[in-house]
Amino acid sequence: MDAIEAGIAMVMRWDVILTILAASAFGMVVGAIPGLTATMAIALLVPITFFMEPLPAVGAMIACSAMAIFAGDIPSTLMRMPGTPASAAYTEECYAMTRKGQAEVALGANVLFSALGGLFGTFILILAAPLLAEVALGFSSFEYFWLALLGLACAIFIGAGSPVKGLISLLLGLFIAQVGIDNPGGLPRFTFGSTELLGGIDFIPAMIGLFAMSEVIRTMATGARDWNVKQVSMGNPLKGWGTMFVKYWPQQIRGNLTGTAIGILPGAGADIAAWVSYATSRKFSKQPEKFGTGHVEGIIESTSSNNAALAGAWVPALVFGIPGDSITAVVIGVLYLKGLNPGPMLFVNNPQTIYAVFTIFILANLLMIPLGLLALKAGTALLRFPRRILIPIILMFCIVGSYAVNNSPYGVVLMLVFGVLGFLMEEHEIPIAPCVLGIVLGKLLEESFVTSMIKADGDLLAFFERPISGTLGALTILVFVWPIWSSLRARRQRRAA
Amino acid sequence: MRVSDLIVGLLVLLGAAALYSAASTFPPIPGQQYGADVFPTLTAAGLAACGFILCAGAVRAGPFPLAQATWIREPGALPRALATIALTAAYLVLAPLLGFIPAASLVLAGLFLLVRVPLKVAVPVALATALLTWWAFAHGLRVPLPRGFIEGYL
Amino acid sequence: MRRLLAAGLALAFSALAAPASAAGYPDRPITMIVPWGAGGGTDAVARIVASLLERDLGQPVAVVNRTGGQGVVGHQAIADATPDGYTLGLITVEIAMMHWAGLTPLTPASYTPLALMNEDPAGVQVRTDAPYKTAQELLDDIKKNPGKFKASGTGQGGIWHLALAGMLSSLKMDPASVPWVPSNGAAPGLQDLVAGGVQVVTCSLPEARSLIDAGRVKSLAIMSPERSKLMPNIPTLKEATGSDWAIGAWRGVAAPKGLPADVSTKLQAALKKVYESKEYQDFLSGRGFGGKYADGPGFGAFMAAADASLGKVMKEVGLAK
Repeated sequence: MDAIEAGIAMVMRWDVILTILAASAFGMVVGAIPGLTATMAIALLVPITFFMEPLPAVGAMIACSAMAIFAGDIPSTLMRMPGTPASAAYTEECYAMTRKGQAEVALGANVLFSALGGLFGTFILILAAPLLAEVALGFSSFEYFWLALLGLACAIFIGAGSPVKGLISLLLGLFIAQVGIDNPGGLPRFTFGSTELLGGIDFIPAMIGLFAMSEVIRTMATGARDWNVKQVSMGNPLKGWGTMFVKYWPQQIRGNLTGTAIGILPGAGADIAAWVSYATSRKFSKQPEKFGTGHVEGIIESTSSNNAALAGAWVPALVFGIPGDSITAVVIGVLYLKGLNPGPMLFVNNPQTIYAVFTIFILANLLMIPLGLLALKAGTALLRFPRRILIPIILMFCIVGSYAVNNSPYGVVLMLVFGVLGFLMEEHEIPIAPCVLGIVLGKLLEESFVTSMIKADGDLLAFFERPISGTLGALTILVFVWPIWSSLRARRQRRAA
Repeated sequence: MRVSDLIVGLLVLLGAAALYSAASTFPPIPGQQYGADVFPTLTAAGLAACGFILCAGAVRAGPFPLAQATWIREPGALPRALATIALTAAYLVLAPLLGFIPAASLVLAGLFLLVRVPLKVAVPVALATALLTWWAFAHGLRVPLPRGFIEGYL
Repeated sequence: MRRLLAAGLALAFSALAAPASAAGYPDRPITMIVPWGAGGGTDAVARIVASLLERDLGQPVAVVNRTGGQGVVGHQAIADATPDGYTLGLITVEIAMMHWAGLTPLTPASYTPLALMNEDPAGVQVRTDAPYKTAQELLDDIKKNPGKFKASGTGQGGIWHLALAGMLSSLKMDPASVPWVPSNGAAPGLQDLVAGGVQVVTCSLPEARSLIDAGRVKSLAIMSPERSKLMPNIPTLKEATGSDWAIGAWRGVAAPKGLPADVSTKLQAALKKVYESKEYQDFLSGRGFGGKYADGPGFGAFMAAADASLGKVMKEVGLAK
């Protein structure tokens, strides 16, 4: 108990609190800028932490990354431009709400459920970190292969007007992920001798192109006329939140659980968590037909999920020094520098520091609510601009954001190419979400398959030999076979009737 | 802008064929049976199947009345869409020559005029946006945006 | 308006001023390109070097990650930049490997070397519960069961892959007797080691440190002539097996080829100061990284030697084109 009190006391100091506040504001701004990810935000903080005390340094990282993941929802909702990859899964849903005049409601839900998701992940981290890290460490490429395949199954549930067109989009995404040399064989593929293409197709410029640029082209074509909807004010946030909280509590809990579980696994992070949660939400919803039309249900589940994943990623990072995602990879480096070497001994030798870290987590997620509300009000003010002014400025953001990912004009070229591609796809009713999912999962799927085959000397049965892998495999096959079987049965029954 | 599903399907089939032929040239990982060609080949097979289904569906549905989206019938819609793409491409050419601020201002002003923003609004807003973006990204976030003549003095 | 005025004034002055030289260098922000992603060891080295360089030169030094293509993209970007001292890069051991594998025409000679900043030798890591006490016991078992053991730690043909193949080859064993399982860096490889997916990981000690400390992984030898300062109880490969094979990942600062001599001198002096600073040394010991310094010409000679020896081994083990 003393350690807990000591830990809390370590945080309740002016310098620590002020650092957390400043880092939160910074994370909020960087996360809201498309092209600059949460990882980038804390990488920018690294040189500053060299000159800080250990605790404020770690606190700054935690606060900054939590805010950045939430802030990614802001441009996603207002401009259909995911600020971080973790927002991509429900970008279209949020933007559809904005088109209905409900931008504030959508963002309000994002603020609250991001914070709650983060808190949930933190509690799991506090209660069961050593135990869960042990489980996560048991995941090998066999398990990741099934996980990636399960992720692809999400494409089925995200829903598309025509299943064939959805599949084409997904396969296109998988192909895009194959470009470059970063494949298990270390072989340049589809690079046409270009050094830039050797590096592959960067996910973020592609995403900005598919979502935001395509919308800009469409809007510009129609002369960027103003929408004839009024944005409704959220009113008293507590009241709206109360209703949502009561109505959608199962979705929220499910999102929290999925997010934490996926976050803990070192090979999968907040972006995959958000996709899985969005698909789960639609699959189990009583009103799946409302999804995609600006319905808050799926947003709640997936926004809970990506923030829960963020806290989950700290489980293997703190217990074994194995990064749960790219953010914790940066954090582990800082922990070493500050003499807080991650590992089971950290929990034994330095319990007060661990409790201080937990306290910061809780604090940062609570702080997200007021700061998020401020950002929400500032952001929605943008929508009052005439769209003839707003849309060209959004295009400039697309350009600068995709440049900033790699500081190279190649990012802008990609963004433009994918913008045109996304525009043409949507013209032909080919959905873009499955394509983005394919890009996200393509590398994981291929890597885990090929490396598993090398390990198993080509024996396909090896995918079922390990207990977790076998279970996941059976589950995956069930998920794929079930819809086919049930539609066949329905057809037979219709014929019989 | 819309073409019939038959053409989309044929394009997909064509892409699948190209993908397959490219994949068949990839050498295997020495000593392994599953190499760099496995996934491209599977993707090609999937695309071919989808392309085929799409074509078959289109043929069965009979001659396809080109159901154009409503916006395309508006005068100037297509030229505006193309001009937006062209202006973005123009930025790519101009930025390394002129630096970020002039290139961004020109492209922004062009976009504003394209959607009939009056000149006396378009120019100052374009300039202000370019300067603010420069300040936030190049100074605040240390993104090395292309530098030209003017940026050297900021 | 004041900005415009200032710009006009500055313009007038610059017309009078002498052409740019080292005397004025640097008078605007410097970019340091890193060919690897944010969060990795190379990125961390770049960020501390950049922040210390910034303090010394009095101009911002921004770290820019140009990732992808197993380092080719970033190395290319450094070589292609204007050699004016405003674009530097942190180049890594891969520059002495990639051209042998036929991935790029770039070689160490494509740069102006400025300073070698760090080197970490490869280690031989196995699970703590593996039945080997020494590297020799592991190698004997490999000899008896070729193909049974799998190793990981980086991508196909990466530095740690070469470390393993070179070690086997130096002991007259078939490099293919331990198949390589490509991984996306050392951390996933180590995780796979603990998860039971592979049996050996030949990454560096700082990369394996957290799992060694956690008691999950043990290191049997390091491929270096000297023992490591971080874990002095681990024998060198020579002590354990008699092999002279030594290999490590190194990182150094370089500029594009053709950097003016006065700028190069100034940067070399600044980088020497950075290397000797307390902050950099604290950083190295905090992260467990090995320090190794050489000035510009020394770094150039070091790279040329590394290039020749890595090329020879890559040809031997069949990783070269």
